[in-house]
Amino acid sequence: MKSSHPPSLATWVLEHLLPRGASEPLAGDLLEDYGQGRSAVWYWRQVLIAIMVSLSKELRSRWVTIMFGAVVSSAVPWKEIWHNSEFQSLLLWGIRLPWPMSLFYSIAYLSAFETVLLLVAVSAYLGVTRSFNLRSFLSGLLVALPVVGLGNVGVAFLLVLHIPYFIFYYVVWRLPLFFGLVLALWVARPGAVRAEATRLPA
Amino acid sequence: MYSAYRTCPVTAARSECLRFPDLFIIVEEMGERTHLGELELIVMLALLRLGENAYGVPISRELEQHCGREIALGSVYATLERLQEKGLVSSNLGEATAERGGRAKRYFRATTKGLREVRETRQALMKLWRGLSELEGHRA
Repeated sequence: MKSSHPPSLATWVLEHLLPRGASEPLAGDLLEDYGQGRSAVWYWRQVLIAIMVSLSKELRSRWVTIMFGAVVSSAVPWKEIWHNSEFQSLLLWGIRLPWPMSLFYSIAYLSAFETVLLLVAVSAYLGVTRSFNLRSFLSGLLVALPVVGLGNVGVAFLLVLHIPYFIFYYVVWRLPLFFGLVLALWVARPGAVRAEATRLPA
Repeated sequence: MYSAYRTCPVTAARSECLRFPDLFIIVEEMGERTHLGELELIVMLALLRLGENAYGVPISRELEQHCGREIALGSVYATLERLQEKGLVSSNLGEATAERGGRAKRYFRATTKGLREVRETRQALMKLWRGLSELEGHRA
C-alpha cells in the first residue's frame, strides 16, 4: 500500500541541495503530484533529476572557474619544488620526527605550501575579474582549507597503494589544490544570477 | 548588461573600453543562446495553453498529454528559469496549500517578448516546412 507521505529523506535532500528560491515551488509541485497517485520511486527519480539538472547548470555557468583550477593545479612545477634544497630540508626535518608526528607534519607542510599557492591564485583571479570582496574571499578560504588538508590526507594514504607514477604525479597529487581552488572561487565569486519569482502582495 | 561594453575607439574614455577582465565575463556568457530550443518552445506553448493556471504540475501534465512522454519537473523548471533569464517568461509566487505541505506555487506567464519569439519561431518553422512533400504524406 502506498504511503500518504512522500519519502522524507528525498524531500530533505531536495530542499538542502537546491537553492531555496528554486526548491520551494518544486518541492510543493512534487508533493501535490505525489498526492495524486505517484509512487515513491517516481518521487525519488524526480528529486535526483532535479538535483542533476541544477548541478549541471551550475557547472556550465562555472566552467571558466573549473578550467582555471585545472590549469593552475596542473601547472605547478612540483618536480622542481620537490628538488629545491630549502623545501627538502624543511620536509626532512619533519619526516625525522617519530611516527605518527612525521605523517601529520608532512601533510600539514604540503597543505601549508598549497595554501600559499591557493591564496596567490584566488587573489589573482578575483583581482583580474574585479570581483574581490574580503568577506567572500575569507569565506572561500575557510571552505577550501579543510578540503586541501583532507585531500592531502587522502593523497598520503593513496601513496601506499602503489598507483602508477604518472597517474599519481599528474592527477592524484594535484587534486587537493584543484578542488581547493574550485571551491574557494565557487564561494568567493557569486555565480550566475538565478531567475527569481516575485512575491505578490497578499 | 554586457551589451553595454564597447570596443575601444581611439577617442573613447578609458572607462568605456573593453578591458581584459571583461573577457572572463564574455567567455562565461558565450554558451548562452538567445533563440528558442525545442523544449523551450514546447514549454512556451504549454504556458500559452494554460493561461492563468500555469505552474509546475499543470505544465508537466500538459507536456505529458501532448508530447506523449513524461518530462521531469526538474527539467521543466530549469527550462522555465532559462526562459525567464532570457526575458521570455515572468513568474510570481502564489498561494500555499495544505496538499503542497504549505509550499507556494510558482506561476509562470509568457511576456510580450516571449510571445513575439514564439511567433517568429513559428513563422521560421512554417517557411522550412512548406514544400516538403515527404513530410506531408505525399510520398512514402
